[in-house]
Amino acid sequence: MTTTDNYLAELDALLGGVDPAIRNGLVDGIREELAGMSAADAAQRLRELGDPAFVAASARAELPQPNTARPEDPAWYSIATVLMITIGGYVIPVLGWLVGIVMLWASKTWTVGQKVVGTLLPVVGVAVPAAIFLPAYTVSETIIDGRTIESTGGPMPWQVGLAVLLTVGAVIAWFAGWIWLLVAAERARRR
Amino acid sequence: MTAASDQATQLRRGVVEACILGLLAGEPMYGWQLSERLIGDGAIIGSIGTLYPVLARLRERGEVTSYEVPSDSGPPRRYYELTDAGRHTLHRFRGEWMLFTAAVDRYITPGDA
Repeated sequence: MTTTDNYLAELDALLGGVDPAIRNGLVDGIREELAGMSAADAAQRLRELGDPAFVAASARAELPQPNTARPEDPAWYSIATVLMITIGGYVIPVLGWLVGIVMLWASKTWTVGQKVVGTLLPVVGVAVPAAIFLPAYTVSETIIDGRTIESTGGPMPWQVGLAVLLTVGAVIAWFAGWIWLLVAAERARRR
Repeated sequence: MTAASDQATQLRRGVVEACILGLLAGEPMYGWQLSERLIGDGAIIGSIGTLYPVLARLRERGEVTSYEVPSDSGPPRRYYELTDAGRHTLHRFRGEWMLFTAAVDRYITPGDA
């Protein structure tokens, strides 16, 4: 291989992945100029061009830069996801919640940590009604002929207190969680 | 890259397309010929590598077209020429450029501000 061939082969390799129209245009543009020249003249021209790495870097610098910004979900998507998991889970039991979870994990905006929290939040939602009825589990009744003969147990004051505390805590955590996720999505969009 | 050379690079980047259109308005030219003119006359580009991505953009926009001319000494030469769209773009740029340079001159010329 001649010096010209080596130069063009190296330049072509350095332009790997570049649009073929640009890559071939550049390599052929140099080739057509050097064709028919003496080896000494061609070598002189190649020296003037500079190193193939320099020429390839110049070409790459002129290409449109790939968009490195992380794509974000549109606002409606974040809101729809939160609505699906919260209200959707009650409107269409289980299915609404599942669709919401799929939308949550398909999101480009929320981080993995935020998605985990979003997945756990519906569990908190289920815990709310469960906590409300907690004191009822402590009551045992003896019923004969439809009449309550004996009612024993009943919630102890601390159990009622615990139930109220859990309910209030769960409601606050539930709302705060969803608001936090919506705010996080909005902040990501503004970055 | 220093601030001064970065500034020069940005300036050149903004005018390289118009310079190519301007050169081709005179006559059709081949790549190497264009590159020598643009490197030699005021260093509008630093390397022939810069030329071809710009030519590709101009071709995509239909402002420049190309054709091959057979050569006795080797592969055919690819010539680039201006289209009507390219002439129109160049004409518009000339108007904007005159206004632009006149305004910048007024700001940067000592005592004229």
